[in-house]
Amino acid sequence: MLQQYVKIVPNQLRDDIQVRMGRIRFLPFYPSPRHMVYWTMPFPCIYALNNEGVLCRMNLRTLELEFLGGPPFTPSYPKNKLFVLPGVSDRTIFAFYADTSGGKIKVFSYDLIDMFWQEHTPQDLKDESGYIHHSCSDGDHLVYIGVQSAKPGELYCYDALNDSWDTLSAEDLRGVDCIWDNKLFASVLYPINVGATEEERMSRNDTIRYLDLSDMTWKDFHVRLPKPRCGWIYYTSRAWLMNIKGTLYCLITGADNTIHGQQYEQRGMLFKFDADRSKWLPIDIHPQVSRYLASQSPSYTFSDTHLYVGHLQAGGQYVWEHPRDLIEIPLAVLEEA
Amino acid sequence: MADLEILSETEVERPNGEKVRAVIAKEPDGRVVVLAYAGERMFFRQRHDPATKKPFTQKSANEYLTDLVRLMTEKHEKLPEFLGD
Repeated sequence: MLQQYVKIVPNQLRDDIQVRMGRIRFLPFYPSPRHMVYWTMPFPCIYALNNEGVLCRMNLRTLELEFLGGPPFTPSYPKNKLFVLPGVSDRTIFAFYADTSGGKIKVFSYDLIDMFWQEHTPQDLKDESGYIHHSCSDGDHLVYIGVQSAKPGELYCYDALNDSWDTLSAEDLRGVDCIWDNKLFASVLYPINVGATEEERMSRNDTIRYLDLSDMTWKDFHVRLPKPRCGWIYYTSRAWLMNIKGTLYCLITGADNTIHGQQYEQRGMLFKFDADRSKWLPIDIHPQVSRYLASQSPSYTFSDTHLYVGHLQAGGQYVWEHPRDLIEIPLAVLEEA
Repeated sequence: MADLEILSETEVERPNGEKVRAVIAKEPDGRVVVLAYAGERMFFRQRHDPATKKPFTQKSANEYLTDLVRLMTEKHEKLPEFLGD
């Protein structure tokens, strides 16, 4: 394992940081995984569509990477999502594809035993320029697909048990992050902060919106988004809400000029929601590790013991220059917060 | 593949250079299926029209195959401005 770290940890990380990273593994998943999902079939592994359009599987015991071939569509960062739906099948990976040329969201499933794809019932898009944005599942048989478009977004629910779709109220939606406490949380984008003073930035209150799945109406969450710590000069990106084993977490991405004076180097901050006290608790992660959490659009999946964070950066002004394809964080690190 | 009656076959090259054969075939029980192969490996099998959930006719299989080929050979496009991050 030490050799693995020697090979993969960027040179600028000092030994003491490597020790602190000892519980966090950087997984050599090349080329970059885009959309990914953890699954236990046929062994604990990560399935991902990589940036060359191939379905890959990384064995998390051996770190061996297998290439399972291309899906029956051309993968594209903003058009795909992968899910496992154990309430339907434990031998199937579901892939959702925004077929913007055809004006549909298409659903495919890949049989892990027979190793072939098939297509299920598609859903018409209202706005054919729409792209699948942040989407999530109930961890069983439902998938909530958020579609961001030039118009206010669209929200659909695919029921894989019945191979059927519902159209849900979408508000002005970019997508949905996760379901927690029967609440479907909207994907949250922080307003741009360039030019704002420290005081202005820290005094802002950012509301979290959710679709209450009991009455299907949109509401404000009673607690606002956590605030990044002082020194964060720019956090235009987003807050990513995650339900990990029943606990709500918030990953905020942004840039921090307090570390080595490097402006615009992206960082990620994690917060854990204390439901009893209705309070966000910051999780203490070393700054050099937090860089691995930073991304304009992270992708995450988790097992019973670890959180996996991948990166979906499509480009833009602050393109990451360090290796950062996939990291594995023990859930114990999060539970200590 | 030996027990299939091949009705039509198309070879296409995907954006990543992979060559794919898209096939319409009839299974021994008479069912029309759409298949796709990378080399000898079948990686796609469609036994009904997903839009209607009905078995393929030769006509609907042809239409589906045309759409499948479009889907497999579509090139990446530039992201729209509003997509942001």
